[in-house]
Amino acid sequence: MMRRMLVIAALAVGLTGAAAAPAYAADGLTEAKRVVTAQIDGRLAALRVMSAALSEAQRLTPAHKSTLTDLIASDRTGLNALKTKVAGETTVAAVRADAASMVNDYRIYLLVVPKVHLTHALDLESAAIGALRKVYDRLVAAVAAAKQAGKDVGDADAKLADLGTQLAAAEAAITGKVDTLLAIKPGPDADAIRGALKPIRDAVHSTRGDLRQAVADAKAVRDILKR
Amino acid sequence: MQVTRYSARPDPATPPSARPDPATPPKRPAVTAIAVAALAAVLLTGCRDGGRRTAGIDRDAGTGTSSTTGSTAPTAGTQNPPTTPAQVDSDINTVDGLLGQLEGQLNKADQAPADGDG
Repeated sequence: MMRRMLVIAALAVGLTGAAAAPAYAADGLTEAKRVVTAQIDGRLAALRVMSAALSEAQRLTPAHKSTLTDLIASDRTGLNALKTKVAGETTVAAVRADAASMVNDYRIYLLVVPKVHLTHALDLESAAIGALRKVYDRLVAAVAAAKQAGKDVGDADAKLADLGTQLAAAEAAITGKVDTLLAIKPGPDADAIRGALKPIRDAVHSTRGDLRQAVADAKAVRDILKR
Repeated sequence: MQVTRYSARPDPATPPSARPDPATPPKRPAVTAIAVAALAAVLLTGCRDGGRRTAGIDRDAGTGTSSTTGSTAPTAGTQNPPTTPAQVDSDINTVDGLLGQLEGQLNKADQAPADGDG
């Protein structure tokens, strides 16, 4: 039991990229294979969830959906092949190398899952910007008509100006971000991947704030027109 | 028909002085024709405007200028339909829905990755 726990602990340390090399027990090969296989299965399950998410995502552009679908299919093929390879290994060192490949060559949790969610988020924001542009155009026309009819439109013009500013900021923040996101490759440097993801994640968050403000402006103008 | 009566030969029983002067064109048919033409024009204009409104084209929207009176009227087909509060509400609801979905995606994207850095 103790030996088994040691093998699992050693694999866990090795998989998280710690410098210390785990010392597998000579008879721990079977256990090592079992642990790595389970970890591969976890990643395959995550990919299935991502695949289902892509199928249900109505706002993903066809191009982005296609790119992500291809990525997931490719990773599933690779991980299944790796699983077969693990099953055939004859040394713990080989299993350890497979475990490193499972992490570094795919980065399912660190990169693929965020790629799916952030791409979807960016496409949702893009759709929201398009819808708000339509709202903006309608409100501009409605405010002009109300003015022409002699109606008091209060600070509708200021709200409309802010709405336009928020939309411009939102658009600028997300332009090109999906392409940048989808171009990030897996690799052994987890910090580099995190660093590449951060500005995209930040842009999605800041754009959400812009869009919330834009919606508040639009609702304010609508309410003025309803008075 | 009035025209038929006036184009008929003069009644021999009617004294010549009472007959209409052949050199003078008859006035009542002309007045009737003008009235009919005017009525037709009014009806046609009404039908055309009705059709344009059905197609979502308001000739007075935007500039307030009739398309029949000046070149400032927007071209039909490129003009936005008039905005109604219901349309704005519908569009804003669409955006609210998108932002709701966005929250869900961001919550998932912000979750710490499982299995360490894998």
